[in-house]
Amino acid sequence: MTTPTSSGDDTTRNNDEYYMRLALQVAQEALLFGEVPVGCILVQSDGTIVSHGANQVNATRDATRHAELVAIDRWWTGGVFSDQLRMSPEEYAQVAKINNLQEPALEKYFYNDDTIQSSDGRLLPSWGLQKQHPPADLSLCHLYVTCEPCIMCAAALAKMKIGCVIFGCRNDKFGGCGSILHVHQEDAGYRIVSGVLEDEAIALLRSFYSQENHQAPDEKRKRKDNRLADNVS
Amino acid sequence: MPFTEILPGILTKHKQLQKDRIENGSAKEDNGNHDDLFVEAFAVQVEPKLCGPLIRQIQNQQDTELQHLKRVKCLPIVSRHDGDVLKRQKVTEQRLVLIGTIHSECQSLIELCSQQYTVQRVHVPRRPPISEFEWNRMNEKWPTKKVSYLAIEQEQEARRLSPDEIILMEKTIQHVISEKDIVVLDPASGIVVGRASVERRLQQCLSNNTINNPLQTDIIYAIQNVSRRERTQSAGSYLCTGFDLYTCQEPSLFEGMAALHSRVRRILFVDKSPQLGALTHYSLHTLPSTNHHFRAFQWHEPATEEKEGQDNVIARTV
Ligand SMILES: [Zn+2]
Repeated sequence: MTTPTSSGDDTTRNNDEYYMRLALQVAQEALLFGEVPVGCILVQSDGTIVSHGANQVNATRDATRHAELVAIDRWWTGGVFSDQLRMSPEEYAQVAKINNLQEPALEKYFYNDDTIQSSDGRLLPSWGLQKQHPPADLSLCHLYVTCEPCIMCAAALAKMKIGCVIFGCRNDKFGGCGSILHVHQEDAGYRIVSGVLEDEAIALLRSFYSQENHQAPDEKRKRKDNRLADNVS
Repeated sequence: MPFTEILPGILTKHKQLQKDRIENGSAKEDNGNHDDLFVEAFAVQVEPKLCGPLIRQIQNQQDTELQHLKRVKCLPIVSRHDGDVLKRQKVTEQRLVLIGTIHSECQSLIELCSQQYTVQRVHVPRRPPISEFEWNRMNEKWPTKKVSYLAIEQEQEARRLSPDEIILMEKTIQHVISEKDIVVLDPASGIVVGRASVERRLQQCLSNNTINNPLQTDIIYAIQNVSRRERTQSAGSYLCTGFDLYTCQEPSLFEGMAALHSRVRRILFVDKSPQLGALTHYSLHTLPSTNHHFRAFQWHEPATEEKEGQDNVIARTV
């Protein structure tokens, strides 16, 4: 794997798209669990994937569990999935029951995610196995996320001194990297690249909302809409 | 009153206006005497197609007196035969374009306009409306911009802080200060539903790395403690909906947005953030684009000789 840089030439664009596809894959997994499909991949300057994260707001009942924070926490705790710190397996089982989810699948999602299958069927190197202690900041890292980080995540990424954030679609309601605030331009700031595989990211989000609208009974849909309104990124 | 409400800058003017009115004992909203609500002004009657050019011609004259007013009034068309008001038709429709009030320095502009158009005297609202009721009344005479009634509702609600409520707020703030903790309170029951210290202990039992994680701040712990309660007790609540967050220090942008995502009802803090605060600098709690707004208060240690009634909630923009 080559070093991810995002200066706009063909190689870097290919690189960006490569990692963004992985982020989309993570987002796709979130979709299976009834979460708004936003996913991200944290990549070190040597190209190693060191963490990933998907939106988990509904399962955890924790509005801070956006993909970006999940990925950072996960890395920070040396590969221990951040939610293990907050929830026991029994709690997860309970959540699964409430959400009518199959427990084995949930288990896979939360505990057995050391590998991810690429589109050609290969099992990719396991970011779940990167158990090294993280450095104090992320200045040599690139974050690939399917949707523009919200203000919370944008501020968190600034606090962690992220090197560069590459995202797919815009976040019109909460975006902290240009849509509502320009958090990435404050203080030291960080570089952003937008619009990488934007259409795919939008299509994924759309598939979530149309799924909601067609399948959910009215009352449930209402409740879900309320819950999901600001889970975006 | 030991609490200052944090309001965004855009509301300050309105706020000041209302304060002045109360202090001067002037114009009460519903006293039926509208004379002081309106002021004489000058307008010119033109055809719709001339509206644009005229407005371009006069728009350089920035008149702050007119900021709350729309520039153009559409005149209804009166049929010659029976006096019925008909639906507007392009052919005969007329517009009134506001030039300035009798207090505006617009003499030269009026002279200029009078060479081409007929200048009329009209009555326009003197100031922005302070309620929907007043806005309707003003609109009858001249189209008036609708102001954010959120501000007014907040204002009215702030004035309605009950003595019991203030006692609970003060008690909780004192608790937060003495315990150096961060607390999420259910104001309906007075029960603490989340505590940073509890969550921190629970998480640090599981991983040492959590201790140094820069993203695990006390406000985040407090919010996550509420999530834990919701997961384990099937509390029937959703995140921090209806709950108030009490903290010694104003939230950072990161923490403030986490609170917003969690739908807190209010944030109460003691010290302004040394960096750019989520509330005092970014006005995150009233961002127009977000789907949730909340109220924010800063607590001040009351001076001992201070004997203010609870009416004196002085809101200001920090
Ligand atoms: Zn976010």
